Amino acid sequence: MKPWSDAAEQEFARYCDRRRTALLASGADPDEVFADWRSHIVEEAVRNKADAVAEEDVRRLMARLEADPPAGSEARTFGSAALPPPDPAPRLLPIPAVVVFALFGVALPLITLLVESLTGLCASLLFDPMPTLAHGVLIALVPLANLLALVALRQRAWRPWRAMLWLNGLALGVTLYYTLHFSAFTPFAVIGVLYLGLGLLPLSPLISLICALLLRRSLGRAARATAAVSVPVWRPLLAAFLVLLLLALPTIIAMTGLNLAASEDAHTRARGLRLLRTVGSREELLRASYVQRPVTFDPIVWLGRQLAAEPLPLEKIREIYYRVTGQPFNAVRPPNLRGRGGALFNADEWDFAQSGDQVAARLRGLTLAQSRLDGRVEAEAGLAYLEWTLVFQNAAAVQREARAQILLPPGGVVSRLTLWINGEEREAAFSGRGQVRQAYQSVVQRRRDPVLVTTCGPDRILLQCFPVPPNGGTMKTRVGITVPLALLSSADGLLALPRLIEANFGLDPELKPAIWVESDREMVATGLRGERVAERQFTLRGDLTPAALDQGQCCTVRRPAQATRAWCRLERGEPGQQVLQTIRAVPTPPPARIVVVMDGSRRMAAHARETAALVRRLPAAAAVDLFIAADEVVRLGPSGADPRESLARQVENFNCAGGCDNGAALLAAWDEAAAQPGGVVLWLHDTQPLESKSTEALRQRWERRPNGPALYGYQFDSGPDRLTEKLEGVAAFHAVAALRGADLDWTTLLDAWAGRAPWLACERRLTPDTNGAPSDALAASLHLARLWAADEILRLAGTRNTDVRAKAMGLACTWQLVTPLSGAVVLENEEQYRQANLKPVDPDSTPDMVPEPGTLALLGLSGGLLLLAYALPRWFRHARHRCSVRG
Amino acid sequence: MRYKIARLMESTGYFENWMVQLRRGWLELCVLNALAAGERYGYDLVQTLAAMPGLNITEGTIYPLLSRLRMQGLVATRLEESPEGPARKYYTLTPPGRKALALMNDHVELLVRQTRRLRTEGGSR
Repeated sequence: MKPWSDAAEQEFARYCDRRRTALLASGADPDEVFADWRSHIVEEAVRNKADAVAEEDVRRLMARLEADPPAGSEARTFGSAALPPPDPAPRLLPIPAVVVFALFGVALPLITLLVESLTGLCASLLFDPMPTLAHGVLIALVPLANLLALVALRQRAWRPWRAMLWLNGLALGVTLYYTLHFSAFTPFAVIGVLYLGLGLLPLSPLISLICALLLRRSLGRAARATAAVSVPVWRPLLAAFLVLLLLALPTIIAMTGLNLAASEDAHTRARGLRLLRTVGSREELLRASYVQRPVTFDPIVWLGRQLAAEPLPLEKIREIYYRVTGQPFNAVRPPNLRGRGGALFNADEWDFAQSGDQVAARLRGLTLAQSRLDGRVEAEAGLAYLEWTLVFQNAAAVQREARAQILLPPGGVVSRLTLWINGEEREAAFSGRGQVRQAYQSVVQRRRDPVLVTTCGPDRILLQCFPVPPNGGTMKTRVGITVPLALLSSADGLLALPRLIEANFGLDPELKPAIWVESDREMVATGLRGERVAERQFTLRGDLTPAALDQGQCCTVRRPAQATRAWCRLERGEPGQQVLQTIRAVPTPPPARIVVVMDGSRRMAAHARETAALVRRLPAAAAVDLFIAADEVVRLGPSGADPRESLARQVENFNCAGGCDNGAALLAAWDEAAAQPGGVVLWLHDTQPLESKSTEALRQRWERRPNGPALYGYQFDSGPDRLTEKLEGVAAFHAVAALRGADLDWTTLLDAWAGRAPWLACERRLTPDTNGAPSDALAASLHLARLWAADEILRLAGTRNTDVRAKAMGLACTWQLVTPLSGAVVLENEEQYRQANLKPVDPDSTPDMVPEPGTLALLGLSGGLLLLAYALPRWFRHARHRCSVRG
Repeated sequence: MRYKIARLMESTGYFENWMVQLRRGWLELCVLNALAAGERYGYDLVQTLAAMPGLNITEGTIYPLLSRLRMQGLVATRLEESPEGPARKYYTLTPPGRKALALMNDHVELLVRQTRRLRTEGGSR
């Protein structure tokens, strides 16, 4: 390479500078041409055998290079070339055009983006244009692309044309998508702008689209003219479409999976469930569970819908949600439906289940704001009375009905219902469940204040309150529950607290459920303070955790082991009778065959070890079989020297997935257990929010063979259990209460089977009033009579005889109890009660936290008798002594 | 008479202008034809074209044209190190360049034929 002198370099640089503009305008790359000239000069120098390139050489050679053809043509100028450029050199974008583009192509979309991000104006009214951050980034691309295009068209020096054309194409795709998105509102926005001067923001996509199109034309011309670069518009448009498709993919997968999972063909159904379990978006499924076919303005989703099959019913979608996730749709916080439609189009704003008998979907803004639990335990009589006061709050703009399914303590019965109307307590009327529901629905239709409690399965009630006033209004109600203590041993009782198993409201984040229980014996509970106030006066109090309202909590009550008999006078109904309760050990021979049914749902994975441990603890003498209720019923086969251990290991290793109907597995288990006498079925499961298709077949088996295998059901986690609800009245069904963990909860039964401890049961019966306490029997409150009445109603309700059922109904009304035959309703005023042919109970006849009059009388009587028992012998002794002295 | 006309044309610059008009496009055709046989070293190509009689161009007009043809995708370039001087840039026709050249040659043939016919037959059929 020949060296260049400094002067030569400077001369060449000056020359190049002079020629740059002309070269650029000709369509050539100036830098390339300069490099070619430079090479040309050096080549000449080499051929002339010059040692270096001097300034003179550059001038000479340049002069020759520039030696033009004869004058008189535009081709004289060096570098302008003899050939014209392919297009005329583009002019700079004029300033007025720049201002217009800057206003409508940059500022307007940017302002729209900011307004929507900060206020959510469109999201709250129509639909959410930015459901994800990625949508926001795509929208931000539009003003950015337009701004950069303007800069490129004004600055000659900076021209990354290819990138500019791509960016502009992407912006075109995004604006086109949003223009279609807003197309339904465009006419209204145009009218609004023309007549009111409002509505420019909804037109932002359309205006931005026009700006982007015009800018593309200018960019294309300039790129072709100056750099011969062109990018076909379909390429960036396709890229934008693919990105938007990617963002809509969760919705499309959910739609596809739902349609497959709803198929009538078993293989297709399984494929759909697999797809949804693997890549399905829970959020999308949840959203679909709330709004059957939400209004969509998303062109891609709309297109997907047109290709999909017919819309599925909400119930079907909710079923699939459970099958996929193993969780009821209403057990989780409701989705943000604004993502697919604003307030005007949100179906969740309408509570379609209002005044029905289903808890149904959760309602946004409705919460349990306050909770208070008061209780009084009669440890010696083995019973308690609890009052649960609930205050609901509604932040929504419309009235709401609060609905909840409450799991009562085992054997518990609702014996009081109160509603606060204008600050005053109103007591309920107790009557047939059909009558009270009709009265409730009638009042709800008139949008007045009722509250309704009916049973919905063994130890389950449905509470309905309406209306919880809008905009932060509250509604307060109280449910009184008479409860028998669960006897762990003759010296220990367990008081389980009621819990919410399904609700259409959430818990207020600041909720502190207060509890205050009093007893005549010592009580213990985790997290609560136990106090001894006076002789035979104990208190347990504190704040429960909000989770305890869902998951439950229990208190252990110490009781005198020798207190096995209690009594109370029957003050209502049949005169001259009294209720006598006897606690006694019931023989429980170990079963010959135990068939275990394990729920194969996803949430059971957390309880696989507990289940396996229970299998290992089953009586050694019993033959054990194990079914798993998965998508199909799976029977585990024992193997090796230790069949129980092999079953337990298989349970631990089983892959629990989705949500499963346990009905078919229970049928198989019943058939297996019924094959020989002495068989029992242990059903270990999680929530069962779906109506099982095997319910009637199950009921038939137990109804036709009442002495068939006993069914012990145990639900690990709190939640709705439609299968158990339908087993109400089946005498062979026993719910093992989940109170202290599976290990402890099963101990009582397993110990009884093994003969290590007795199985204690309370027997309550009616005896003739002897005008005094039966021997060895302790006086109890009227709650004992209520428990007797509840037992009696359940017994009578099982018959088909109308007179017997009428008698049971009468008993429920007399004792003011909510049973499978009766319900309780509080109406707003006397007129409503009269129209419904109902009569509210006398407030004096309701149970209370203070001992009832009957209890006081009994206590007085007992005290008098004790006094007499103490004083009479002394009096006789004194009398005898006086006689002997006189004598 | 002929001399007079030539003088007239020279004095008015008519012929020069006509040449400039004709040269538009013709040079491009020459460059592409020069590359039709195979790749050519840039300096060599420029020398050849500059020396072509009747075309009346200089090296200065050819380099920008080559740059533009490259940017239009009609020719491609590659660099090769040289032991004597600077790296040599070789030009070659691209497939689109070959297609364009074939079209251009056909069109020129057509124009020349038609022009001859006009000359000989006066355009009469």
